[in-house]
Amino acid sequence: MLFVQVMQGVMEGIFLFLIASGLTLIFGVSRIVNFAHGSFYMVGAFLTYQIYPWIAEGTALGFFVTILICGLLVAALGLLFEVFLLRRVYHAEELMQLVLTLAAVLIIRDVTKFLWGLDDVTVSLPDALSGAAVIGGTYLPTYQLVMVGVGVVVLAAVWGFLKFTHAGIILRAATDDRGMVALLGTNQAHVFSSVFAIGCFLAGIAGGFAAAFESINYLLDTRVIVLAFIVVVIGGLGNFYGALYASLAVGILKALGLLFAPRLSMVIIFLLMAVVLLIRSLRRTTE
Amino acid sequence: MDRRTLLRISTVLALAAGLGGAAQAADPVKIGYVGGISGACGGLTHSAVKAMKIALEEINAAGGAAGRQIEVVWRDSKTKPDEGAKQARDLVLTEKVDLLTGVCSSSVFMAINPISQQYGVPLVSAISGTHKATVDFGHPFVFQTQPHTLMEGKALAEYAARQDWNNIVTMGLDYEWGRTTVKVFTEELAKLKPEVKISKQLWPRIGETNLTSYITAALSEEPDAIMGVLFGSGTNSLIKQGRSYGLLERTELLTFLSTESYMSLGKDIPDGVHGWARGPFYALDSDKAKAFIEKYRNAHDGEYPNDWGMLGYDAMYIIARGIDAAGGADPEKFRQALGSMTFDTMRGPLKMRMIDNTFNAPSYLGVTKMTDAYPFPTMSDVNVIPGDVTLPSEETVKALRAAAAK
Repeated sequence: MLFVQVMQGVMEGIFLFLIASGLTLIFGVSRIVNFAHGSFYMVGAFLTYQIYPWIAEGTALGFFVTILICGLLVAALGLLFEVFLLRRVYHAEELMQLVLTLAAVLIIRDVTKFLWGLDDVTVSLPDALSGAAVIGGTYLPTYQLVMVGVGVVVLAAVWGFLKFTHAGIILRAATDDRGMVALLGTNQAHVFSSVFAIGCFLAGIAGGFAAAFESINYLLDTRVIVLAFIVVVIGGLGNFYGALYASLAVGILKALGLLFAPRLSMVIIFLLMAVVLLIRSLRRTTE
Repeated sequence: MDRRTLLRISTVLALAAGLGGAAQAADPVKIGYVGGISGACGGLTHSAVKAMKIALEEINAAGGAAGRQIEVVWRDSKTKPDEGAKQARDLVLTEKVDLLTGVCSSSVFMAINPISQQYGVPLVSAISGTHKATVDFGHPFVFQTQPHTLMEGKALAEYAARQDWNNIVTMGLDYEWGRTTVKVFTEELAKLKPEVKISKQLWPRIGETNLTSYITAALSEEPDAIMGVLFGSGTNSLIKQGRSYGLLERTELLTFLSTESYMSLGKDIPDGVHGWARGPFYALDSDKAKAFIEKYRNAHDGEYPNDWGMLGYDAMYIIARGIDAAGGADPEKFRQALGSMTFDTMRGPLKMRMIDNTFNAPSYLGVTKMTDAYPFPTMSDVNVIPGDVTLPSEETVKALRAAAAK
């Protein structure tokens, strides 16, 4: 039983990571707390609902192609938002940035309502992905395993990018010291824009995967953003690997909590967040 | 777009016609509607509003109520208690409405309830399920036209007792509705069938849509059934995600399944889920219901009304007939009128009892099945559990009121 719940937690954790990784990447580089991240996720979900029937409904390949397209569309949308709006407030007070991303949340929500209505919609899982591997009475759903696979691919891709490419080096440097990177002659605007687009791409594909897994409606944005923020805060704002550990920790803790103390499972997660924040601030004051 | 424009034009025309008629007759009866047109209730409420508008048009075309036309002022509570209270107060003080209706979320109902009490303006709940407004904090002018939480919990227990279930896991949303329904269900089931064991109680949060950990935790008890008190996206997620865990092969599932879930999930709802509903259009075959469904579909691109639409339509008629019988909107006369008559609704004849102003509205339980009749599955073999069976006893009402007064 323990094994089932831990596996369950890992699977849920990886999915959380897909959502939170983009948010933390964006924060790491641009120091923008992007409340609209959940909105981009929601747009990814609704686009999947819209586009999948046009591509090849019912086939697994069509599903992945759809999600890829949706990720790219959401990245394009994010890019527009960054270039035309967000870029203008990088040097403004944090409050201004917050107001701008919150405004984006409200606008995207209303446009979503206008386009897709108020009812819940869902995407049917392709048959090839809807089964489960049954190992000794333990069900490991195919779709969740696929999502774990996607999570691992994203992790590997971002890790490789950060570690081995020139752009990755600039990105890491920008996370550490933006001013220095600018002094060395790198065009910051390009760095910010591309990171924002990558973050939105991740949000878009996470939303696409969610569309086939849950039920989506126009309230998905704020539902998702809270959990994503919890993960990002536990992992350390802007810390990509931290987000991974935090996602896994949150997923596993929640799953185990449900087994042993169903009433407390959410409390445990908030406790974890409190403890992590406390330790972090204590360490800072002692240093 | 076309549909919306059409709707607007027809509303304007209907209003114009209404006003024209009213100019000669007496002043219209003014009703204030406050409901969750947007926010968490948005997905449920829109059908109720459409249905109430149809009812309104019919009633006014047939001469209105008590010889007066009915005029409704529509307001959105955004499913927020403070916003709902603000709108209700404004309707009462500025618009001078004779009566309030609408509400969806329990918390908004509870926020509007004191306003109805304070100003003595009747409040007829069309689609809110909490019993607290009419039972615990009931006052003479608040009315409940659908089965409330105490009634539904009991209906569920009645249904579960008829099944061969001895080990049940409950999964209720972690708020008022989920908590109370599970509590009543557990208590009533213990009376009906003491040998049934509730082996685990799980409480997903509202808005939580990854329910997989809950599913595996529930299945770990190897229950005979899982009783879910979830709605909308919660129900949808439970069914979708449950499939890949072989949930229905390993246990049975009883959950709230109102029409909008069938519509959004479609064939993703497998046959054999036990569902419960408040106003399933497909299970109501009175001429009244048939005529309404046809009218609704013609007006809305062939869309079917959801449970909330059925309840909204009934509520509007109950209000109009009540005003008719009372000869106007005087609160006390209205209450007496409601308590003394039988209403011919789409859900059959309904009566209101005076001790808590609650109608004996039925609950509907059945098993899902895909048929050729609709593009989505529906419940077959529907068990109608009448409100007379599920209404709480007078002693319970008194006890709850005494406890609330403390």
